[in-house]
Amino acid sequence: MTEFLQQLINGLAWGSIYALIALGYTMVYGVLRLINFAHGDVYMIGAMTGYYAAHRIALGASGFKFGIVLALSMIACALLGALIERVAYRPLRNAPRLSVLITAIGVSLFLEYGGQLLFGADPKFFPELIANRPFLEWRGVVINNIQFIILLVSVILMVLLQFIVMKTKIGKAMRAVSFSHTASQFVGINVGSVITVTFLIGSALAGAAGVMVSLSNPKIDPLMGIMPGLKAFVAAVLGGIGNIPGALVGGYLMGIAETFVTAYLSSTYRDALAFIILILILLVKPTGLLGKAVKEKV
Amino acid sequence: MLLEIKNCSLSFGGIQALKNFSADLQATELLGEIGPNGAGKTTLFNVLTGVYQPDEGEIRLGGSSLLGKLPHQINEMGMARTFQNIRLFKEMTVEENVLVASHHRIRSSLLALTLRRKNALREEEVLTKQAFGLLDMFSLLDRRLDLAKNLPYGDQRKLEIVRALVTLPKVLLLDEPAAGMNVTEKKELMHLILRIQSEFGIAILLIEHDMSFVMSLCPRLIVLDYGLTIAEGTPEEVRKNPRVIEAYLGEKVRINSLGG
Amino acid sequence: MILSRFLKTILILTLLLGLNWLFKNQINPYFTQIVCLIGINIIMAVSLNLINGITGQFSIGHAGFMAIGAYTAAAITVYLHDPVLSRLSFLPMPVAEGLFFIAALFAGGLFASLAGLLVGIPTLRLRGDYLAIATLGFGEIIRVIVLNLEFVGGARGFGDIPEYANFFWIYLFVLITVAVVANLVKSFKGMALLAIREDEVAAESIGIPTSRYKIIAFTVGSFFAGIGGGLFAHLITYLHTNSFTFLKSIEFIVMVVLGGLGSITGSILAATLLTLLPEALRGFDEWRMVAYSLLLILMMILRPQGILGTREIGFLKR
Repeated sequence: MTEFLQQLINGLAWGSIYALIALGYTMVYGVLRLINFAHGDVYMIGAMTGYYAAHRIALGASGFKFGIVLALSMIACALLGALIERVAYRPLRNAPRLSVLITAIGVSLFLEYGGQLLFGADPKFFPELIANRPFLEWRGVVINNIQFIILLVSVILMVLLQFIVMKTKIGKAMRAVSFSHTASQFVGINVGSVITVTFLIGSALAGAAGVMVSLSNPKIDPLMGIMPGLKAFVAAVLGGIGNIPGALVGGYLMGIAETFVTAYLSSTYRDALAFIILILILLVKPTGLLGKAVKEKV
Repeated sequence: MLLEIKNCSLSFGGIQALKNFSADLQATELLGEIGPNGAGKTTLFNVLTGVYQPDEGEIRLGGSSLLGKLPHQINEMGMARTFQNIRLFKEMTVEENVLVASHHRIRSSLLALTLRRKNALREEEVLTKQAFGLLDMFSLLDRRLDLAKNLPYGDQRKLEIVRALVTLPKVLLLDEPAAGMNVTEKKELMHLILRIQSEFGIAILLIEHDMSFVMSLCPRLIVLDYGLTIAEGTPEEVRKNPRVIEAYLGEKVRINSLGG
Repeated sequence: MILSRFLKTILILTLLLGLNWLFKNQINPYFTQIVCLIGINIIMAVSLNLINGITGQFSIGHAGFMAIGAYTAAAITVYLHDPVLSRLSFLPMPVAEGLFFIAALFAGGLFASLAGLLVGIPTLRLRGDYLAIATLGFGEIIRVIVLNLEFVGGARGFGDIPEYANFFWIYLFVLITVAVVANLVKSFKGMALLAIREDEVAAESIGIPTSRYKIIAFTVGSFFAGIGGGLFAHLITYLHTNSFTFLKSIEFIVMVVLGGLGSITGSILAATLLTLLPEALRGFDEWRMVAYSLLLILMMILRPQGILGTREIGFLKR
């Protein structure tokens, strides 16, 4: 039982990471019907930016420094996301879907290999901003402080997002654009701006995930976004792509499933799990757990 | 009785698109279908061709039920259609648009065709001649190598009709074939439709918004509103029917064309 | 008519044999290898074009089919080499080996096409992006499965594959692939694939069973991908799952898109170009992938229809 709960905690921590990344995928799909392949690499840039920021900022390792590094990475990634949208996706707003998909793949590859050129292909080690110590304990189940921070920050960000989407004007605009670009334009919404904001928010979340993951897994490299990106994407599909609560559900399910498979089955199949889930969900309910089917008009 | 539609209903979520709809079509008959926007005219076509399955009701073509059949099967059974928004194969040539429609008439297997066997090639030759004959009848033969997307609008509508005819249907469903055409083109289209009816012995069900067109062409009309038939009869009868006038009252433009 | 077809075949075979001798004996092996790789990539690009360009489906896991063909053919030639060839000892060695090789290749193609069937059927109801993701997932699953199969080397790779593939075999299959795909699409029934790409609803309305044809596209496309894989295995003589990653699938997609989705000659041109280019840029390995990705992005923004769009040139002209 202790073991089970412990793995659950671990799963929730990873789930938070996947959920944060999945949110970006799902929001962009919601407003643009685009699978932003480059999103996983934005997560990587978050980690890299955090690494350089952590080295440059002349403060001792502390929670405060972590906060600054986190904020800087989130801002950098937000700007990167918006830039990618403007430069690579916006010109293709009327192009066939396959073209945009291929462009997204191109951007992803560009970030990965460009990253290797820029940062060097060898892995780097993220400085220890917060020492890993047990934080809470209950009957043998330990949450260490890094896990606690990941959970806390993730929940805060998610609550913030929920607030933005449900209670603010821009959030309402985002929901409108997800529903219909044409209708949104008719009511005076600047669809282009809404799309940019979506990318800003989604990329910021991915950046946050990148920094937080580096706290517990300090070995980072330019290709580190590929697998988590893919898994987070599967999580978004699992929950229902385009559906924000779905991204959360999918992310946490993915994190927990992965942790349990690694703990109780075998770690060699850990990566394959994501694809198996993907195939299953696409065969059984392609619109995801929380998604709704849309009928084509003839 | 070639086509029988009995008590068909279809709803999308909360909206009832067809309500207990019934109609009949005789072989070689020319029936016009009119009604205000959103009445369910195109939905009826979609149900007839198997794009949507009705929630209730029965549809029979030549005695055989069409329920549960896929659109391509219904086409093989003898029903063809054109689309309100023109669905041509844009990047294919006029010729290709028409030849690909001969699909279910080819006896040779895909393998035989790929290996360019003699019998297969001969079949293709015969079908090509027939297709060209039809294109000629519609004055599209000299444009046969043009891409469908480059045709003028009126010719695109005609091409869609030719494509449907190549499948040798017993019933042809035309969805606003005259839309966007000028007076001369409409006159030509009227003659072509009558020719199709007599030369090919095909029954035609025609949706149209242009009242003078449909009333001078079709000896019988059905009028739809909110998914049911609100009137049926000759153009004269329909024109004077108070329910029909009331249904169209919301559309001021129509009142004038109803009068003449 | 038939006679001249027979004569044409003899002529082509003689030409191929002649060129094969030329490459083997007169031209330097490095260049020969490149030419052989071009041939394999042409097969891969044309077979992918059948699915993506001609039928308009989103398949981005083509390397998976290639892997199946490669590993199946290699497993057969490596493990069944002695039992089969000893039974065929009444034939001269080159003939026996040739027959054995063809059989292995076909087995690879067959298994690949079975996989194509397995992918095609359940994904029929999936649209665009979902189909793409499913094929991507499938490609990766294949790779992980093979990685865990010890009898084909697992993580160490699969080596000592007999070097059966040469200019003759490769280009023979290039010609077969191109001929089959071109004739298929030109035929009145095969045109249904183009119709499906253009407008599925309209295609159904003129009697085309769209589901059946999508499956045909997947099965035929994956068959030839399997053949390409088998040829690849017997050219490089060593296989590792790292050669069949998502990145490989992307390389093929780039070829098809660069050449023009739907243009067979375009795929041939692009496959040639994109096989030669990395060789020309040998010294700039790190920049290669960056340049590649920029090429992708710029191409989609500036000229998404690729070099030839949907047109063909030369003898394939419609």
